[in-house]
Amino acid sequence: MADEFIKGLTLSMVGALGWFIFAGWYRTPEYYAIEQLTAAAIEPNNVYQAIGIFAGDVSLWLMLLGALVYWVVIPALRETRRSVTESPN
Amino acid sequence: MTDQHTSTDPTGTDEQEPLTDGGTDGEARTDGGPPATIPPDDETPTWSERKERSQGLSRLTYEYFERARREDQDLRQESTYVERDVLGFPAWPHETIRNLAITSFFVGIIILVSATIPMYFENPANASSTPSIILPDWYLYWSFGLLKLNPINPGLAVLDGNLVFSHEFFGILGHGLIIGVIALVPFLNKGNARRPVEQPFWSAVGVMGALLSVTLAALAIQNFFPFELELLFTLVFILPFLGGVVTYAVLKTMREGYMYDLNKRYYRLRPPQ
Repeated sequence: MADEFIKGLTLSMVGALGWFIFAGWYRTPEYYAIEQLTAAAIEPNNVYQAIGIFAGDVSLWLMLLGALVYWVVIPALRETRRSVTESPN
Repeated sequence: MTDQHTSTDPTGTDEQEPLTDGGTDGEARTDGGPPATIPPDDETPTWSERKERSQGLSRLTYEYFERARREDQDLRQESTYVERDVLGFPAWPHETIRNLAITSFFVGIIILVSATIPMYFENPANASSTPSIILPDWYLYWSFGLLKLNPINPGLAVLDGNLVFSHEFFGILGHGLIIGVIALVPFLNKGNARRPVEQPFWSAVGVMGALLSVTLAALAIQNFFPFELELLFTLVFILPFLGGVVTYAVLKTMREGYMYDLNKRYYRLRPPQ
């Protein structure tokens, strides 16, 4: 249980840090606007910017899905399997 | 170093005599000493437990703590103190290295963030022009939200529909109500619950208060929300109530569930009120 928690937390935090940095580069028009980190990405001028925007999306989904998989999906699967094997009606 | 391994043999035989089975040694040691005979007790690891800590992280952890315990034991025996009161790991190097690792991690995060997305400053504030939106610091938003309760300021028919209180005084009365309720809570609940599941009702009251502070803060920055004020105003009072109901239901359920099993011994000692 504790292992699953720290795995989910690690993936979530690594993803959050990456999303924070890449979205700060490509999805933040200015720091004095209300919408930061979630604005539409800039139009990439070169391949590095395209890679950065893509990495920001990957980090965002890593942050969300990492926690979801290890905190919800895997424990739910484990509970389901246990309830199936323990109650052979 | 020989004095570490002396035995308190009452027969007064040679101190270096190796102890055999049945030897009388007053100081029982687990590791490192001469072959001492220690009868297995509750703390003696079984063979499966020994096998579990024979590899990987468990072995590393076991060796670390065993080494630390041994160092502590040696320090005690070399020390002039008769007995130390506090059992623990020494500040150097154990605690210091751990704290250095944690400190390095957070300093690294600060440097990384400040290097990758440096903050820039806009033009300095113009002291001669008032901004269109005036807001206090964020932790006072709830108070500022209470000053915007004018949609529920009642008017009376006997006053020809005029307001009983001015909008400003109504906001001040709102503050009085909130602070009065907060001041009343310690007299209604002594707060001897150690965890929310013990007193679901008061936990629900607490969640309601916390949510109300957040929704009142949202009322203070009402022009940031992209829907009409009437809906926001309804949410300000509905959401804390809903949160309180959900909290009460969840805690009541948890009390019957695993939390109750987990704390059964604790509850047996001190039944929930």
